[in-house]
Amino acid sequence: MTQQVIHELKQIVGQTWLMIDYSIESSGLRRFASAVGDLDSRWRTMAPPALLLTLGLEQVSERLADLPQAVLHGSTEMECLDHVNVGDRVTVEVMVDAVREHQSLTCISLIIELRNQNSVLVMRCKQLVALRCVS
Amino acid sequence: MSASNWADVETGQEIPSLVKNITMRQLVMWAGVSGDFNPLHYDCDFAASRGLPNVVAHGQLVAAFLCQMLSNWQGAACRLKKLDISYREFNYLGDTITCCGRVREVSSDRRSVTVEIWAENQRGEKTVCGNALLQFDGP
Repeated sequence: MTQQVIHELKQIVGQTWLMIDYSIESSGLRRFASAVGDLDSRWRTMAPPALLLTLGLEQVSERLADLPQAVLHGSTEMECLDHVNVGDRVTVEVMVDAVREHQSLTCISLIIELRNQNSVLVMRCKQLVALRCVS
Repeated sequence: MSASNWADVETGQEIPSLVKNITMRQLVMWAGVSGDFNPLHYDCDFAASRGLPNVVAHGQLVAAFLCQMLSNWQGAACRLKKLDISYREFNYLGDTITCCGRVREVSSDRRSVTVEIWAENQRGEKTVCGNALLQFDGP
């Protein structure tokens, strides 16, 4: 794949890159809480915002995994618009906002929107991924 | 935080910090739940091949720590509305991360607060910095 994915992303700036469906299950919430070490009882039935931030990034990571550059996270901007609870289904839309190359650094800006089963926008976020060439 | 405590929030107030130690177990568990299996986060040789001294903690994991600090403080009476953070420096396996926060602004209607948040390592270096907006959901 090497740099092909970068070329592909440049071609779809402003468009949807990925669409992924998730089911919010209590087992997933438990595993997430355990991984973070956040055992707040609220997260037994409600998805913590930090979990929602991870949805979709698995697919992004997979597609960038074969690049020779180091894949680094630059920044996160997130707005929570509604709660997501156990039993909800969430559709994640990953859109390419911008791809910028500057010397040894490539920055990919992604807009990620999460909608529940009623098509209600529950979260909007912007993730900046930096690809850094290494010696 | 209860509704009565919420009324007492003041600009400049520091919120209780949260300390986390980055272990390989936690990095692997996070990779499992987040799906981020970038070998930078668990393969020391791979990290070295990229010029790094050790495997790197996932930035999103540190973001989750910051969210935990906020939810510990805010309680059920309010919720995280916005988060804006930058990953400035790496956090490495074995680091001790302290999540910190300070109230920057309380809205005039006292329904929301803006909190400056950051994570710093054991050397006092701020590795993740940003702001969060918390909204009071109570009556």
